Amino acid sequence: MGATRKPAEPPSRDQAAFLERAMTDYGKATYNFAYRLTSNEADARDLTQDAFIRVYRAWRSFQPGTSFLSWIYRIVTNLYRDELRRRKGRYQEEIPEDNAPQDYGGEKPLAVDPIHDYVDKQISEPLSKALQLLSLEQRQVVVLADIEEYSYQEISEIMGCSIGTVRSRLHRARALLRKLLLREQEKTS
Amino acid sequence: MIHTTTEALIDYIHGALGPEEDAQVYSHIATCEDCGLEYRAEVALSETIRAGAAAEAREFPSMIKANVWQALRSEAPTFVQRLRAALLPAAALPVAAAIALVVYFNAGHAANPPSIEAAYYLDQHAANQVEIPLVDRSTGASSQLERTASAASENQITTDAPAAAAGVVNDIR
Repeated sequence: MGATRKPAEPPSRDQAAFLERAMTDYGKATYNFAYRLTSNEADARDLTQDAFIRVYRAWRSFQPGTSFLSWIYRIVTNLYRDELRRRKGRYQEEIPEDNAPQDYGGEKPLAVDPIHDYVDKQISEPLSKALQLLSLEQRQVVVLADIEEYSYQEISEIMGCSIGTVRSRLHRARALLRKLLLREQEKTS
Repeated sequence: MIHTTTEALIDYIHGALGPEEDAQVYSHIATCEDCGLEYRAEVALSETIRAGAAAEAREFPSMIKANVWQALRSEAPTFVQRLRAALLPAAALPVAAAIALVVYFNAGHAANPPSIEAAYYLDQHAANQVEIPLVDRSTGASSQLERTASAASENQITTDAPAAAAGVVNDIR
């Protein structure tokens, strides 16, 4: 005689439990990832909030056994890109393409995303300031590769691009960071 | 001597090189001063990035969790949910009618005709409805009823019960 099967719980209860656990276990990491992308607490809160709402709605699309952090980082990345596009449409401001030549000479660097120009923020750390001068894609790849320590393969899955693109973005981003940090160092010394 | 490029050093630091190339870089930076210097600069950059992130690490604001639940509780229903709510009452009547039809046909009311002639029931009914207070049913009345029944069966029609009853009464009178 087979074992008696426990009746399945209502989906809504599972869904709520899934979200609650996700926020408890991964809320801090998600919020910090969002903060590193936005460098702004208010935007990071909104982004994190929207990401967890998306997690709630799309909870069935998460595959057990895979990395939840990779999944939610991909959600955060997509949401932030959509938000920047929306703001770009509102302000008609150009966001430099990742592969386009960027001129960072002169006193004031080019605006690399609308948040940099339109959101008042206090950046004290030289690294934070340098990170903000990268394009969104460059900043994402640096955060994922050097802070979160993901492999190129994982980053390509999170960002939805090829490994070659990840590699070239990382190379450009790090070359730019070194130049910007060196400049900050020369200013302070 | 072929020097290692900065790009290869970055890939080396991130463990993205194949085994053979990884081994080449490993042995080269141990012997080449310039490449060793470049390698240490890249390592220092990675450490600076990680240290900066650690210094800026923030706690998860509890208000986010509260806001998420609040937003989910108060969010407007989706288009599909609204459509379902609107169509459900309108669809209920046709669905109920369809179910009733299926039940009716499955019960065999239409497929299986009655096994006994309807005329028999109608005649029997007509006979039972006749009130003959002073006549013994076992004699005269029964013969009248038998005649009525045989006439009905000869005509092979579904007898009109009230008409048959009226005929019986007239015959008795």
